Amino acid sequence: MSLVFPNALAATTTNLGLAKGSFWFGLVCLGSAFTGLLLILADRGTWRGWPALAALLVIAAAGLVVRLPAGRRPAAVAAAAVASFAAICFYAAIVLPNLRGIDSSDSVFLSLPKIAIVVFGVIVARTYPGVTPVVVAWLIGEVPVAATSVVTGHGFAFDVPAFSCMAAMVLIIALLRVSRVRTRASEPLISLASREDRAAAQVARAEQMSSVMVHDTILNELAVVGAVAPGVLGDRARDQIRRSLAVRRAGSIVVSDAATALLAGDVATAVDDARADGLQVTVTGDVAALRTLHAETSTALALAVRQCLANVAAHSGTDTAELTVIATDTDVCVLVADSGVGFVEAEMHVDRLGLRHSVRGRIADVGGTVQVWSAPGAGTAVSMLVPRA
Amino acid sequence: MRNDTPQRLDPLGGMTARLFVIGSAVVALVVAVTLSLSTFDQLSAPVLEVAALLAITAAAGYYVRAASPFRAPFPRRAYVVVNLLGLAAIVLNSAAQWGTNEIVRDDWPPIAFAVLALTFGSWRPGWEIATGTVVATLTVGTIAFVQADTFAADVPGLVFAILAATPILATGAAASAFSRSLVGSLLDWRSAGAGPATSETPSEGDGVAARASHLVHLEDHVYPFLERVAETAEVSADDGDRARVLARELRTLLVLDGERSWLSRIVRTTDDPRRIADRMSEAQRGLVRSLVTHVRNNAAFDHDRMRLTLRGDEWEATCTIEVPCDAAHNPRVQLAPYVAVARSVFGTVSWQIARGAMAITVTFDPSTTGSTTR
Repeated sequence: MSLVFPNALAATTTNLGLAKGSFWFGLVCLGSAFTGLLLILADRGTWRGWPALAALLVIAAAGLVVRLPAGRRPAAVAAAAVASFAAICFYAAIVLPNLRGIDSSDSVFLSLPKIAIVVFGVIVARTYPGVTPVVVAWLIGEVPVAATSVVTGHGFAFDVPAFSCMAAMVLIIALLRVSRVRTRASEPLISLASREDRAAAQVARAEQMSSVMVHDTILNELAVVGAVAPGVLGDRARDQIRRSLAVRRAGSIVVSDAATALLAGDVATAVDDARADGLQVTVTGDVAALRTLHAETSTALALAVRQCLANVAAHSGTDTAELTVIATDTDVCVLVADSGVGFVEAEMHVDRLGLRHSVRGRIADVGGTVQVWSAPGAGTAVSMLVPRA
Repeated sequence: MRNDTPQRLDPLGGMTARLFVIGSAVVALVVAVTLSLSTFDQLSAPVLEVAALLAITAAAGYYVRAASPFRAPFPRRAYVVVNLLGLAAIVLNSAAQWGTNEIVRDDWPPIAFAVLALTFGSWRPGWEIATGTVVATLTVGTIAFVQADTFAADVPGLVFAILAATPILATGAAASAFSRSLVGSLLDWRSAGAGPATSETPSEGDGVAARASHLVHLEDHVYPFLERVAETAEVSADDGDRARVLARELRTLLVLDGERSWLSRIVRTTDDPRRIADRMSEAQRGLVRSLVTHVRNNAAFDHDRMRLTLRGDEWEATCTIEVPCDAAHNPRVQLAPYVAVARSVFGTVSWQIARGAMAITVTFDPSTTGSTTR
């Protein structure tokens, strides 16, 4: 996921928020006009003006229609516009004769429904981008009220609140686009950095796995070549070198299943290979439990066991090792132990990567844990606990 | 979701909203001064009117200041202060017109307050805006109701209360709905993004290749050597020596590659002895990476001398980016979006541009974030 909200979605979500906010803005305006008129009519004890209340409800219904998903269709928008036009004509014709003589087309009771129609135009602007819907909505409210006011002898007065509201909405819609371009200019760079970070994480992962593979293969082969006496190299050593070079050809740079498969096998294969190299390995415990492991876990465990046995052969000073398998309902524990010279893990040189990368790293990658018990002269035991599922 | 705000979830959107805050502050002050002058004949205590104008000016000024990306996120305290100052303007204006106020519609404080409230939706959660709106609405309505006897129109007092409170109630309801809508959309986007990686993420086997130094060594020296040995099957004394040297070099390079953090790969002069950079979250890494890229691509900065220093313990860590800069290029303005986003992903963010250098320091909790695979 990107670190910041993408520009491509920002306009859509802001317009949706504007539409929802506008709906409630309009509803409050209509509600205030409705309640105010109701109180006045009740106070004067006359119900002659009650149809005006119905007209306000029609305008509210028009707002509700354009807010609905189905209200985005041209026919629904047109119907809402016509209904609003008719309703405010009717409303003005009823309200104006009941106002004081000094009141004109800018009376607060006329401004409020006009403002409601203007902000409902903002909802329509979500479907028909631009400021046109807002201006049209303003005209739908303003023209019939002004005409009715003049006809009924109240005259015309410029309705500052309704016009200001329209102008404010036009400015908001127009400036949103401009300001968004300016303030969100850094979004592509930040989003790109997020993607690069994910790619870098994969590269780092590939390098780490490559490092482990190289340790388990190439370093071993160099050690063999460095240790043998001058002369003809044995068939087994040559096969080992060819296998390691095959890992490279299979793609050791990008960690691939093919490269892993060339090395991995299962724990039994690791034990067989160690025995072939001259190590006497005794296997005890619930060996069948190893077959219940997930393939990825099984591979990681086999590679880790292979490294443990290689460590015994190379560093312990003994040619025997014990491998014990203990299984529970949830975990499998493999213990590789020897009675060799032992070591102090904290004092190991930093370039001793086998235990750190090939054992701990691999087991941790599949959700397992590793514990090492060792002391100079007291042998070594490495416990690898991995989950079954 | 209850306390999420659009600005917290989309800091860049907060920068857009800040421009509207500045605009609304200007409009609110113009409305206040214009209507105050036009209703001068209704004032009974001009001094209180001046105080009311000062209060709304303070509200607008404080609002603009608190909405700065360098102070993100906009705190609840700032919202309360702006509300209180706006309410103070309402009360003072009413006192200034007490007994002489003839028309409720031309009272400027509810309108000026409403203009400010229109942009609240980008900064605070919907419920908080709704609460503030109810308080302001009741205050304005009550004051108008109490003054009803002095108004010229012959309508029930409650009608004055409703009409006076309508601007604040309408804009408050709109701002609250706007906030809820935006937070919902942003959380939906985050939920969608939290799923499996999409195709925009480079996948394994999709050209992602390790470029560590040990690999170069392998290709240039080790593989050719082993291929020759496997081919000839003869090992000389020199081959044995060569194998031991190659093994030692390879082992050293493996260690060095393993000790390089992701940050030291993008900035050469990174001082991070405890590898604290590896404990950053994905969002934190992304932000630092984008900031470094911004510094590299911008003429205002001497990126060759950029230096990163990471320090900390188990519970708190700091990352400081220092780079020489040229004040003539106005690096502060260009830095704003990064500081705004940084404030949403780091514990604290402090920055300084002085004596020809910029320093940004972020803090984070290394015990709860980070990747073990780095």
